[in-house]
Order: sequence, then C-alpha cells, then structure tokens
Amino acid sequence: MSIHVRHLRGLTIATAVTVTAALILVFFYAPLDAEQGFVQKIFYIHVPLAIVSLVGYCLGGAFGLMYLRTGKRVWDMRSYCAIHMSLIFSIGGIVAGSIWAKASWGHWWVWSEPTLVSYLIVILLFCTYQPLRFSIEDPERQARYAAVFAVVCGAFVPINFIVVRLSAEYVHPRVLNLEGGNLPGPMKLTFYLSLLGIALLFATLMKYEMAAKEMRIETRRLRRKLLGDDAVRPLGRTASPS
Amino acid sequence: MIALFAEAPALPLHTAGPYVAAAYIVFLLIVLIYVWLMARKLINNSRELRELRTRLDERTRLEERTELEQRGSGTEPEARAAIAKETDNDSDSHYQVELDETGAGTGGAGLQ
Repeated sequence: MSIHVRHLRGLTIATAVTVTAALILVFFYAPLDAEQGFVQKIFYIHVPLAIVSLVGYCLGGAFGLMYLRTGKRVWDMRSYCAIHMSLIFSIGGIVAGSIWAKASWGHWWVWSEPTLVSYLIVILLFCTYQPLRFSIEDPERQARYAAVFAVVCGAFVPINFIVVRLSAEYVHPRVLNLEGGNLPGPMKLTFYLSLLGIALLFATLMKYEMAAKEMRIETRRLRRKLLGDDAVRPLGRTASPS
Repeated sequence: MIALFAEAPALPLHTAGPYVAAAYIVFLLIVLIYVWLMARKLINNSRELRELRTRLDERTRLEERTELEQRGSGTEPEARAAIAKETDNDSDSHYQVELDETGAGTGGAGLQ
C-alpha cells in the first residue's frame, strides 16, 4: 500500500469530526464580537483558509527543494499537490474575505489595503505555476523548473507576510500576533479548532489527490506495457506530474 | 438554531446572516465540487486500472501457455493434446487483446 493511501480513512474521519466540531463551536459556543457582531463568524473560516493556504505554498516550496535535492519524482508530485490545494483554499479564503469586507466595510475589495493586495499577488503568482508546467513537454525539465519556481515563490510568501505585518498603515484586523492575539478564551478555542479542521482538510484532500495521481501513473505504466507507447498521451499534454 | 441566532447577534440577522451564510456556503461548495471531481477521476481511473490488469493477466497466461507449448513438443501425446485444447479455448481472448491494441488511441481519452 502506498504511503499516500495509508491512514487515509482515519484522516478523513478525523477531518470530518474536527470540522463538524469547529462549526458547532462557531455557531453555538463562540460569543458574538462586541464590535462586528454576527459578521465576525466569517473570520473562523476566512482566516484559517488564508493561513493554511499560505503554509501550503511554503510546503510546496519545501517539497520542491526536496525534489531538487533528491531527484525523486514523488517530491515533485507532493509539491504540485500542495500548491494545487493551496490555490483552491486561497480562492475560498479570498471569497470569504471579500464577503466579510462587504459586510463590514461596505466594499467587496479595498485596493489600498496591503494585506488584501499582497494576498492577491501571492495567489496570482501561484496561478502561473500550472501554465509553467503545461508549457514544458519534457517531464524531467518540467519537474525541475516547477521545483525552482515553487522554491522561489515559496520563499516569497513568508517575506511578503512579514513585510505586510511591518507596514504601518492598514485597516485589516489582526487576529493573531506574537503575544497570542486579542481574542478572548472561547473565541480563541473556536478559532484554533477551525484552524485545525482546515489544516486536516488540506492534508486529507492532498492525500486523496496524491492517491489519484499514483493510480493514474500506474494506469499509464500498465497501458504502456500492454498497448505500447503510442497508447499513452505525451506527458507534455498534462501539467501535473505523471 | 434559528432561536439562537435571533437571540445572539449584535447586528440584525437580516443584515449579517446572508453574508455569513454566503461565506460558509462558498467554502462548502468549493470543497464539494473538488471532492466530486476527484471522486469521478478516481472511479474512472480505478475502472481502467482493473481492466488493464485483467488484460495483462490474460496476456501473461497466454504467453506462459505458448512457452509451455513450445517446450511441450517433446512430451507425451496426451499432454500435447491438453495444451493444444487450452490454446484453442483462449484464442478468442488473444484476438480481443490484439483488436484492442489496434484501437488503443481512442481508449486514452479517459486519462489526464
């Protein structure tokens, strides 16, 4: 059994339980924010999605680095899946954030807010990852260039985050800081459980994607063995590792 | 739940409620669409993998029999007759494999 399929059922159950518990806490346990009221509940989904997606980009960079060090294709696949999942989570995060902004600020988007714009830049940067892979037909070169891209952009993410944090002028609320943030106890518990739930969801979906990719690779291998090279599409036709 | 919402919020629910609901529904939709796409891919791939494994097994068995037949030319007449009979029974499946090989280009559409 592949390492990506192992513990998948347990992880799926843990994810379902944690996400359900987090949702129950969000709506039935966490108190209402004194300033924002009910709209603040969006934070329990928006902030974890943003944090997990940013960590996912860094993870993609770390996996890319491992590929460059070892040359093993499995690291390239992990890097691809981490970035792919992060993009999906980013879109969820930015849409949730935009809905919150409309409810709280009265605008869907504020271009003068550095946190929003820098997050958008990170998303757009990683949106070019798949077209980059798609444009290279040779699988070895595709994996190598993609790994370099993932490492460089993965390093950009924390730098970007720190620069925005150091920025003096912002209106975006700060949920967490080095002193642990300004959330009261029940809110903090709810937030951390939501964060754990979203992180587990990321891990579970990434494992599923890895399992699907491994199955596809096995299918290609068997197809080639049984029907010859002509029966298998050229690798350059796909952006994902095969 | 509705009673809890009605009691709890500082902002009126008719203003804040749709925004909160929209944010969570968007998240849920994104996850569900992704899982649905992934499940479809996994089902298609596992079906194709099963078919390919069956065909590969058939081919392996056929090759083993052919090898046995070649080696068995010096064996007793009963054994040779048994091998010949087995080969006859399998000739259809062999033909099927060859047919599929010629039409292999169309079968690859499910990949990617």
